Amino acid sequence: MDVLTVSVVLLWLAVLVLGVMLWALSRQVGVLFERVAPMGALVTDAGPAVGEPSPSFQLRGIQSEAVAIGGPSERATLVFFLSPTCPVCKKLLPVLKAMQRDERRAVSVVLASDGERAEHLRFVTEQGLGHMPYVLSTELGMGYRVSRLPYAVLLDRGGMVAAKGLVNSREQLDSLLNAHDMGAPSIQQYIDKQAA
Amino acid sequence: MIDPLLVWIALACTATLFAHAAVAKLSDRTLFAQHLAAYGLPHGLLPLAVWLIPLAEAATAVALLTPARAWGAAAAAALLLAYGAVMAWHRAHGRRLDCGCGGEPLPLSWALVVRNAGLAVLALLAGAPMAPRPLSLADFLVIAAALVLATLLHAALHQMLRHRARLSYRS
Repeated sequence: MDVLTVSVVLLWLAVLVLGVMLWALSRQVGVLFERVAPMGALVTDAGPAVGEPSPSFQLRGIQSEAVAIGGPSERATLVFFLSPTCPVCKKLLPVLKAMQRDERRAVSVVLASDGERAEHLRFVTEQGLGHMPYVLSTELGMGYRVSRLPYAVLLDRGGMVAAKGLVNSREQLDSLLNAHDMGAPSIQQYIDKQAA
Repeated sequence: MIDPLLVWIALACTATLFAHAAVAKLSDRTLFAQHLAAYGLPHGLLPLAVWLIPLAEAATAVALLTPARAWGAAAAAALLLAYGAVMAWHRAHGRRLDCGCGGEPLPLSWALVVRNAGLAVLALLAGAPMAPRPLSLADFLVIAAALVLATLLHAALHQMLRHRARLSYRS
């Protein structure tokens, strides 16, 4: 064993140890991300009322697309909360697809849910929802205090909550958009404005 | 003529990469089918591709360890470059699909395209003609150590790309 052999062996050992440490460190960074993440959700402690600014969310979609909710944007945003196991949600999917197609310039549709990613990816593939942003986020649902599905929140261009509510039919979904078009968050306010 | 130690390191790394890729894809075929669908593969081809691609990868890994090493290496480089090209195409169109690289979700990035080009060079090295030199015990130890190191660095690279993606989406 000459000095070269010994030093090469030692260097190999050192490089392997450094490799293990680099891998372990990058894992720990990942764990830190997981630990820190839920802190953001505590900021929104109540569901935003109609006419108030929506909390803003920077989310990553199921197909890794970036999805921004809240804050000023080019178009109004309809956030539709659904679940693959909810039959009423499935019934409304064609309406949403048509809305995405017909109102493309005015409204962008974002589908939101939470749970197992693989199950939702299958749902997206089966229902052909690949062209709509689809986010899995518990904090989004908590931010809007969503307790029942299907639930929809409509945000106007300025990021204000224009309308929201439980939607069970095409008519109810349309009513959200009408509220936005007329600039009145509810029928009561609309009537008041007409009377004034 | 390239020293057999270098060629063997490249061989061991490429064969491990492809064996791992094949096992990962075969063990969760529904997820793999979803990745393929997201990448834009026509639905009619899905049931076929879900078997064909992992089996091609497994065959490549096996071929690398047989005398038909040069063919295995060519297949490996071709697959890596094809994946790289598809990823580059989607990324160039602004889509950040899940890479489907195995393990936790990882959005597509140019870094992954570069990674694939680098791995393709490694695969070509694995098919290069070897200079005649008998391998000693020290050679085998170096091959084993290099394989462990390459695996760790590959995993660490993926983790760092995931962190980078999270940082760019959260802040």
